[in-house]
Amino acid sequence: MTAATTPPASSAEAASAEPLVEVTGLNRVFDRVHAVRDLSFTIPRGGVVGFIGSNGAGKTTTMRIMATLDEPTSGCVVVDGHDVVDNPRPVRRLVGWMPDAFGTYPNMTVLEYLDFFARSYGFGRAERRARVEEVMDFADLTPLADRQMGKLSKGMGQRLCFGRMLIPDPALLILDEPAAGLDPKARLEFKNLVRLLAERGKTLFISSHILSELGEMCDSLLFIDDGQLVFHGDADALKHGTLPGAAMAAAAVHVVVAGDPAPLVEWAETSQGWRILEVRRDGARLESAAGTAEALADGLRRMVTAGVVVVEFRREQRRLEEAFVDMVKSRAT
Amino acid sequence: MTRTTHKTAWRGDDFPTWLSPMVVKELRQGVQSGVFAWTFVALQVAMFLALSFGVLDFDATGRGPGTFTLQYFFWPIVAAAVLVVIPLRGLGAISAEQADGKLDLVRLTRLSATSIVLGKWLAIVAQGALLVTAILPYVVLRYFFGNINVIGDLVTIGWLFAGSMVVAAAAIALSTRARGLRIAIAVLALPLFVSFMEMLDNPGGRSLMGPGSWVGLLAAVVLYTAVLLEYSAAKIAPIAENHALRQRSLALAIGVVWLLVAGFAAMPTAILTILTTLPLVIAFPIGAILEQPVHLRSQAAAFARFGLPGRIAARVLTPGWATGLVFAVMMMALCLSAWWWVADVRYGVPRGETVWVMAVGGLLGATVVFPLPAVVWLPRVQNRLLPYVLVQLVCLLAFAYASVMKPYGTAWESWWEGWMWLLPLPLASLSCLLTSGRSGAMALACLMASSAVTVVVFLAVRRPWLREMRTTGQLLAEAQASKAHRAGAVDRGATA
Repeated sequence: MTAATTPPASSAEAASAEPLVEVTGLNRVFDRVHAVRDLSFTIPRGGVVGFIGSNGAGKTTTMRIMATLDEPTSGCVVVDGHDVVDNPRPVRRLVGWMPDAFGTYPNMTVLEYLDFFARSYGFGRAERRARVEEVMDFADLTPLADRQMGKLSKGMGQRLCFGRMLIPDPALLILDEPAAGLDPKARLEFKNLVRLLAERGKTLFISSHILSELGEMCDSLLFIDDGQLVFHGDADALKHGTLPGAAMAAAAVHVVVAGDPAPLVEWAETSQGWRILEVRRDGARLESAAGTAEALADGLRRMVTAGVVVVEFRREQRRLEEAFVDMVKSRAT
Repeated sequence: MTRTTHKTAWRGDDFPTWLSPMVVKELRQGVQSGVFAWTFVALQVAMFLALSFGVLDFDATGRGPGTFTLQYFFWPIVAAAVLVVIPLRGLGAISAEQADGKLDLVRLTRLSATSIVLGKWLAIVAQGALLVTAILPYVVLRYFFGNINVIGDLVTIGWLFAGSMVVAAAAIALSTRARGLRIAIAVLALPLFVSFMEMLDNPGGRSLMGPGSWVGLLAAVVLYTAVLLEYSAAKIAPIAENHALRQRSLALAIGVVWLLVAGFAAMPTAILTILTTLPLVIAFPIGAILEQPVHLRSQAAAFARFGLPGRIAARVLTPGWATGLVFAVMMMALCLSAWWWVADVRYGVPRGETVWVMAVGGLLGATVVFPLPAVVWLPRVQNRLLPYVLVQLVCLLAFAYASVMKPYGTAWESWWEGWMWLLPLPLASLSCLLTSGRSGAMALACLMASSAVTVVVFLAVRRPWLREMRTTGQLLAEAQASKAHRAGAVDRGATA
């Protein structure tokens, strides 16, 4: 009995090392529209994963399949070892789903709504009350408890939807465009909620069109275009451009010098692997073809050795939007 | 994030925990909604006015109000509220929630598709019950004006309530379909409601729902309600839930009941049972052969654990048109046997008439499977009902054309010449047979044609059918092997 209920530490470690979600060769065709094409990726346990793509790229379809709300045309999605099509029940116990559009029951109050979901998840009387109060406290919904759902603002509605998702305490939270339509204050609150959940060890899979926000929140990013995966990696690599492949390898550097920038320009013109992007009054924007940290450090050392008085040497970070557009362009060519 | 210390009073215990969450939600939402409140108030006002006018009528004529005012206003008002306004709220039960993603959130909870649908239905029925309870005082008050049978009226209200249960279930079932279809069926159902009203206005008609047939009618209410709710649940359930198992098992049980009543029940009971359940006996096989193929290990494993009987049952009771065809054939065999038993053995109709009865049964069966090749060979069509209905429409148009070319009243030989070309179209042949008298030769021709058509249909779909059945067999074999592997592992573990 003990052996059956308490697995040995090694197998527990092995289980935690396994990805929480495995998507393999996923395809979804609606009539003649191929919404998702041969999509494969994994999501590790814990952390925040961003899912980026333009409208109609297949984000929502993929997320709905992961949440057992749609069936793939081919391929499979496995969540914690359970196939979402063949065995949806255990998957549903693990997954919390927050859709992009949140339908309301206008006659119900916030408390009644959360209580309904707590009942639906099978909580008994005392447990139900505890869960609802905890969630209301966490999502700052307590002052809204008696407010009718039809009278909630967009931000309040999103918070309520977020709270509803947390009632069963799911391990994997799938959020489809959760920050869409929120004002800056509500966005900040939402980011804080995401951070708190990540600290609690939850796995969050978030799609959004506000790429800069995702970059701040997410440990890793997935870019999808026309139903196909175009990038899977961490946000820093994307922003620094230190990605495999020539198109992503170059790095832009902002150099400020004391006095005349001519020595810097002369150095850049004569140094192999460097070129001038823009000459400024106090320095220049240069591009290193290699773009690696080692190449940049070597360039700075040679610059100083050549007599350039460097005051500031800063690698320019690309915005996620630019990275995304570059990626889509390079894929098209 | 701003955290607040504000605490609100807990008000989540207005309904007991054991009550279905869907019922709680629907009641919280439904009773507070305008439709229920306005229906309730309007009914009270209408009842009060009807009663007041009845009193005035009583004073003026001295004949008592039951003869006119109460009689002619009371029942339509009650029926409209109980049978139309409240149950038809179910028309949006599923579709309204599906439209803005609310149903998805509910589906992700522990609630099964069946409990979601059942909860919605129970909430509508509960609101209907509230309305019925509210009109009971008026029923009793009418008694004091004379010329009123209170017991009869209460029985009628009981049947109205039972009817409301079925209408609510039908409305929920319709709410899973497209909006156009919902409106079309609601409009088509209107004449039925009007004729039902006329029946209620007629005391002779009301007596039809007397205690004599209440058991059968009650059974029909329960059966149709269950079937309609199961249909709705199947529409919103994940494909891993095997609703074909429930639906086909129920249909086969009805087939067995047909055989039992054909063999042992009194003739009127047997015929009433058969006629009452005939729509289901036709609808279930149609639904089965229109199903998209589903091959899931979990479903195969559920059957494989019962060994050989389970593997045989899987070839009838797993979802998909291929197993649906096997099921349809079984249903056909069961029902035709019962049909023949009633006609030939129990009723002792002459041989020619028996052939006619069997021809009708055979043509019904052939009609059900006839469009299958069109459905199977158009796999890209999402809504498989569409090609099915189109093929049947072509048959009906052919019959209409033949009717115009060879109008009624001509000798059957002329008819024969006129409609022989319709023999390969079962629905057209069936329509001809039902409208052209009981000629033995025609019936025999139809019987043979229906058999031939059924065989041709099977031959036309045999390749995809075999492929589907082979896949089912492979899944069952894999499930069996996996079971054996697990059992072996357990044995090895025990030995170790």
